[in-house]
Amino acid sequence: MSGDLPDGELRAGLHLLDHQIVDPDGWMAGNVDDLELEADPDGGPPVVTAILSGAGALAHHLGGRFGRALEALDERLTAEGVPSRVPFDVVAEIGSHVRVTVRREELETNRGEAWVRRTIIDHIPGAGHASE
Amino acid sequence: MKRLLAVTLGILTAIGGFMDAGDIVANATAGSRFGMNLLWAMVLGVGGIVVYAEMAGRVAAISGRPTFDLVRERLGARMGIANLVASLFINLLTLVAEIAGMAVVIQLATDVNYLLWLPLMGLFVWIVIWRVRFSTMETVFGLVGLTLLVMAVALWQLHPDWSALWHQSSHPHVTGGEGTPTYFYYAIGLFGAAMTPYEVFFFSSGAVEEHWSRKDLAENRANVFVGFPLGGFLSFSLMALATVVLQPRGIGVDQIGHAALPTVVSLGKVGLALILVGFFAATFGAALEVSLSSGYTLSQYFGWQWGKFVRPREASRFHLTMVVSIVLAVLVALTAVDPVKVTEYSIVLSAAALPLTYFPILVVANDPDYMGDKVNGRFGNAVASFYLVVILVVALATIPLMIVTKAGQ
Repeated sequence: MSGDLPDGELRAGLHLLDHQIVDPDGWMAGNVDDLELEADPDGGPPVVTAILSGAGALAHHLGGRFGRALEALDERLTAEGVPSRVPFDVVAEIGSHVRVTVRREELETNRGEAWVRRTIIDHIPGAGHASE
Repeated sequence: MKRLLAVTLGILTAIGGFMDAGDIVANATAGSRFGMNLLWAMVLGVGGIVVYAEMAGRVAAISGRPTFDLVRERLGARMGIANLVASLFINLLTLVAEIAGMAVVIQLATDVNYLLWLPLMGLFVWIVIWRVRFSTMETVFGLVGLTLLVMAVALWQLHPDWSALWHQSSHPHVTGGEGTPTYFYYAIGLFGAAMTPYEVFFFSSGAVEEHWSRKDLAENRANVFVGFPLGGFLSFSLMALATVVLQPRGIGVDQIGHAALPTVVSLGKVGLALILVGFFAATFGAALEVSLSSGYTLSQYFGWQWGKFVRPREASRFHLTMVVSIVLAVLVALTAVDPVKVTEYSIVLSAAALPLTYFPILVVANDPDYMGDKVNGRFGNAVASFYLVVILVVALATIPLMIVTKAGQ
């Protein structure tokens, strides 16, 4: 990572990218696909305010033709059309995982998982049984 | 027996890697066309997969991070997605070949056209993924796959001229009537088949499924050093059988049934029964390995919950990925596309994508932030670097060779 970034928080933010998000119980809750930055009103370096996750956020981060195609696909598939947002103040620990303090059910990143579960997987017999 | 049960993850991974539908045909073809003159390529591949699977398993045991997680993190979102798209495409082609391979074996046993069996085979694969515990799956398919050792017995019973086989293996040359580019095209096929990336995706994720930790590093090594050489030994047996039985008679191999022929010539009906069981277990095992590999790679790229260690509803997108993969593979196979051609392409394409998977493993296996004191040693790094160069050369040469040789014709 380049050393010319003046602000520690932004550097930490860039270090977050492409890492697995994990909730307090160890459930996997998405990947850090993009970051939400806010300009410092006093003219300092921008500050990370949230982690963005999901195909839409990824598409934005990827850019290019492929990114635009993915973005269009995501807008068709999701009603919201906005990427899932994980406010930065729930981030507890940044290591090989990004650990957050709220359970995955309470995160916006779980919308897709919940939708697939509700619409498809729960209708298949045995969905709630552990493997034998 | 307990020792054997401890290494079934390695055995299943290796059988799925070395004895899947495409490799069965590739090994038999290599023997029937080039004798033992291509054995070196397979042996080189066994060395490579041993070195990199050991690293991938060690990283998974120490850091809890499976391979595709590392691919995304180390290559970034963009290169990561290139690898993801390539891997999913290759996995789909391979799955088509495995499900078709299973159905062809049933056709050989029942004389009912394989197309009719395809949907049932797809259903079998899905049921095992949906319901059967990872460790049970690994034990059953690993052990039943060992039936393939019948090929070694068949080879022994034919009393081949061992010194001639050894001479060909140790002094390889391009056999008469074959072009040099074609020879190297098949060499890449054998090397690529040994090192197919879905093996490390599956093996490293399997290590996480089995909750390996620091204390399981010996188990990791045992799995790697027993499983992959065993897979290589099975490949060798098949290649030698084809050299002894098929090559002198000028019999070409265009489907799995031809690969069973030498064993039947040697051992008769018993040989036929055992080799069909072995081929079925191997293609079934490979179908499971490849389907799960698709679920693992996609989920790990996007950070979705994955794994058979949780209930299906807790990892819904992971399971949906596999349902979609299996359905797609059955539909493609139902078009009566030649499953052998499909796997040949999938092996060669995966050879072109090898560096995208193996480079991140090597980088993370050297990162003390993840590995602590279990980083690679100097010797391990020397061997791994050598293989990285081989992989790069192979990746660059693959597509041009495929075009020049019209895919080995």
